[in-house]
Amino acid sequence: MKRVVFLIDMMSFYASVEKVYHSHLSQHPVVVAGDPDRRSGVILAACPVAKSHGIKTAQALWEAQSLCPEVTVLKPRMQLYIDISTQINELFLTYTDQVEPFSVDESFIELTGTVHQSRPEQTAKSLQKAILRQFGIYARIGIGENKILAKSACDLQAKKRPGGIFHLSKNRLADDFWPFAIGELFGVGNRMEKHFMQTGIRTIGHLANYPVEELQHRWGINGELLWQYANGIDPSPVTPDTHQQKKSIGHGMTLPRDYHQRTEIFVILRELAEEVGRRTRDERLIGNQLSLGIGGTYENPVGFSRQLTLPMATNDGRVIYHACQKLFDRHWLGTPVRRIGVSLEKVEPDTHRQLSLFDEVEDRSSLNQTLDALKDRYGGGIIMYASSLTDAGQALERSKKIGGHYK
Amino acid sequence: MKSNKLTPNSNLRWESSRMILPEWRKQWLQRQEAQTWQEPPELDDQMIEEYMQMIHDGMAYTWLFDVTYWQDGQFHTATGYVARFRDAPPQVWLQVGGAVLTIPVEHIQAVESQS
Repeated sequence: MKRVVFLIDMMSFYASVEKVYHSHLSQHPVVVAGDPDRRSGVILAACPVAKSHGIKTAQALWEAQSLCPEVTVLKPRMQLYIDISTQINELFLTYTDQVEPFSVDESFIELTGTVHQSRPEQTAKSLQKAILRQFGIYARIGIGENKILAKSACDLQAKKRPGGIFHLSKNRLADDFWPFAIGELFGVGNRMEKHFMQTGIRTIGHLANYPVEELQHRWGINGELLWQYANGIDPSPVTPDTHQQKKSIGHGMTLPRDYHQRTEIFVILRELAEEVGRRTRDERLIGNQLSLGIGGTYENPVGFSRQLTLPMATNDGRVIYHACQKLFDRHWLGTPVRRIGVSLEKVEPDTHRQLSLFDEVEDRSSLNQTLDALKDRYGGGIIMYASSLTDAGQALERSKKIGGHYK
Repeated sequence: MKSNKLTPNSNLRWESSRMILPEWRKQWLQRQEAQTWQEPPELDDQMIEEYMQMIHDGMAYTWLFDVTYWQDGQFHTATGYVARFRDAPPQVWLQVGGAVLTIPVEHIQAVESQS
């Protein structure tokens, strides 16, 4: 029997949640946008009424307001969205234990082997109703015999149809999937779209019927992967424990202005290193490969990304910071910086540690545990380095945010 | 061999393209953990005494035991030799391969001898 996989997508998730909490705005154009005074003043979500005025996600706020002056702009409440998202995923668990959240507003669920397998459309309707009744959010559901078919059914068909549900069968690819433009295939970005267009591949169907060997030769694994997608081939399982495995722990930020001074950049490096250390300890992991990414400004996009292997695996923010300093001094050309990212890779469980025979390593685990306990209880802004209180520091502001947006 | 996006039964093709906030992930894992949380065992005194007698006998003859015990909301089973029995607080030290597992007696669910 064929597999039955759903991709469930919450329509305009952040804006839909806000409309539930501001019911008087139900018929009004509403957008959720970042802080208008900062670079992050972009549209994070727009309700269908706002979209009907031409407003799009990721548009600049001023642009949206010029398209629709009466639009209501709401600040994001990230913690609320996370709470509702996890509750919705718990609802999915009442249908099947095979639930794989793909983003805050999208999840794959597998109904193969459940009582729902024989009637997927009815189950999708029941699920859609349950989400609307319990959370006030309209969901679109793509159904397929694997994840790529479910995802494509949702993105290309269910989102554009009145009922919000579509079943993309493998024997109907030529009618329901292949006529779409190549840029609409999942995994095809702007650059790849240009490459395909230059090769004469303009639709998903063109790619599906293109010789796979040539795609492999030109684009390697990615070429074959996209060919598989175009043919509705995807053997990957719905993986409920996918979020339990961690290969690296990173933290990055786009700065509110250009940073020119080394001392200012070091303030941010320390903050990021401490946060990476904290997250690594939280996962009870240690890692021994550090990666530092520096992004330039819009006018001068000069940056670098370099790695450094640490002598011993760690989860201590100070050790990470010192390694970041070393990498930065080695590769920075003195150009202004607008984005910084730090990540600790090759992580493993913190169950054993290698001891150094030559250097005395300061054990800062009790200090770190105390700092973590304080931050867990009172929030990230409760204790920080004094340097974070200078003009360059961002830790206090970041402690009020999740993913760069207000909690 | 290192897996890639085309490796059968791998989920890498989706894992490499998703966007998940660390805060979201943490909350989801905590909720999952809470859902599978199990209460510690409640054995009666007679059963505990029976298990302790079995362990004491086994120590003398280096029997191999399967010990099912509770830890952090989950039950686990480990197989090994009893290296030591401590009275205060009551603990069984189980030699499992090269490591020693310390199990509080109150967390033991079942003991079975393989010998």
